[in-house]
Amino acid sequence: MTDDRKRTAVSVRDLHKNFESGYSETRLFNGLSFDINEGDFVAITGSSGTGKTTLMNLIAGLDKPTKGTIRVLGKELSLLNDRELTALRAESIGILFQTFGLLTDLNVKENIKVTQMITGKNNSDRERYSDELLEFFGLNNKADFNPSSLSVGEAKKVGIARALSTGPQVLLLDEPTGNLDPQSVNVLLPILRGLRHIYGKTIIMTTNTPRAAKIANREIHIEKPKIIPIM
Amino acid sequence: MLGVKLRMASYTLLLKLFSKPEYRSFLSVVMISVLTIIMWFVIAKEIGHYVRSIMMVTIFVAISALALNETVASFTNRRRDIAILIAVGIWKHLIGGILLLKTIVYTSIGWTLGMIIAYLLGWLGGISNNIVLQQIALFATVLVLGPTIVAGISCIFHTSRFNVPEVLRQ
Repeated sequence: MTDDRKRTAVSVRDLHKNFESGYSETRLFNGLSFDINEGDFVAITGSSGTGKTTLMNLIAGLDKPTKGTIRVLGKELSLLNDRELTALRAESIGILFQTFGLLTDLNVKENIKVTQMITGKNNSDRERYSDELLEFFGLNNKADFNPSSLSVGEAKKVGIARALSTGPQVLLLDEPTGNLDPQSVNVLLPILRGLRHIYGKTIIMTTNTPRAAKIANREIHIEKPKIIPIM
Repeated sequence: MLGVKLRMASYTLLLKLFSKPEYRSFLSVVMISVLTIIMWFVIAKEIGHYVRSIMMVTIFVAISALALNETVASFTNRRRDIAILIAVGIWKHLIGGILLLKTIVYTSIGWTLGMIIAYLLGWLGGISNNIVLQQIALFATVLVLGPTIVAGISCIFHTSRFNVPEVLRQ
């Protein structure tokens, strides 16, 4: 064991998540286990309905597994109460939602700043960091725009900028290249590479796009769920 | 630690997000004003004690129902925004508190407007407003606190049961 050995950022053990719908039960993950080290860029792949978004929600502590344990930055999520989970998300986890999750009553810059108020930074620091993020993503000229007036690609960039705005250690990107035209994918992929190299964050990304999966240094494939009829 | 940060932070963006006036809120303010005016005249008119009590309870229930409607509608109309904010790390009871504050502000505006209008109408109609004012003061605490408590319970109920993944899936 050496000193420079990376610490585990996310650890998943024997994960099961079951959903009941009508006369059947969908069993996701089937005992999935993996470790993700700090600074890793991991692509979670699998066809639609395999539970990629559910896995992101579980890692973010937004949902609870039926069975199994998840540890994020050394904290076992099942042992944390609601307030501690909120604090963990606020301080250590950045999330990009599949549907961007932008607030349409706030402009682009305010969307980035809204999460910063929980970081304890003062207003000038928040202002400066928001400007830096807008510049990094090439959105300076769209700072006052309403998110509904942005293209899908731009909205994804704002979503990623917001996810980065609190300086999280773990970044969860749910389908960052989903619903994007090839041109926008060409713009976004170098940004994702940049996130890995410039910010050095632990990045977990779900994707169905092989090109996007290739920029990750590791791939975790989720198998199809089991559907069990309920008697 | 988070609690300290929350206290230190400014919430202007959250207030901006949730204080946006809506048509429903405007109607609530008008209805509460009308109910306050009715209450004023129920106190001013010499009607039977029994009838007066029934009318006062009815007005209390109606104002509470309007406050309850305001909080429930805020949660329903803002489900997606609330889910996003909780997911990115904003404590759900803080959001509930802001929605409760919004309800209290609208209820208070309706109540104050109703009092002013009723006082002016009473003055024009030659009603002895001073006696009414004294009696109103007795009911005021109940009529302001009651709807606030009802709305507060509703906020706690809704924030506690809020299912973020379910809302984000929709």
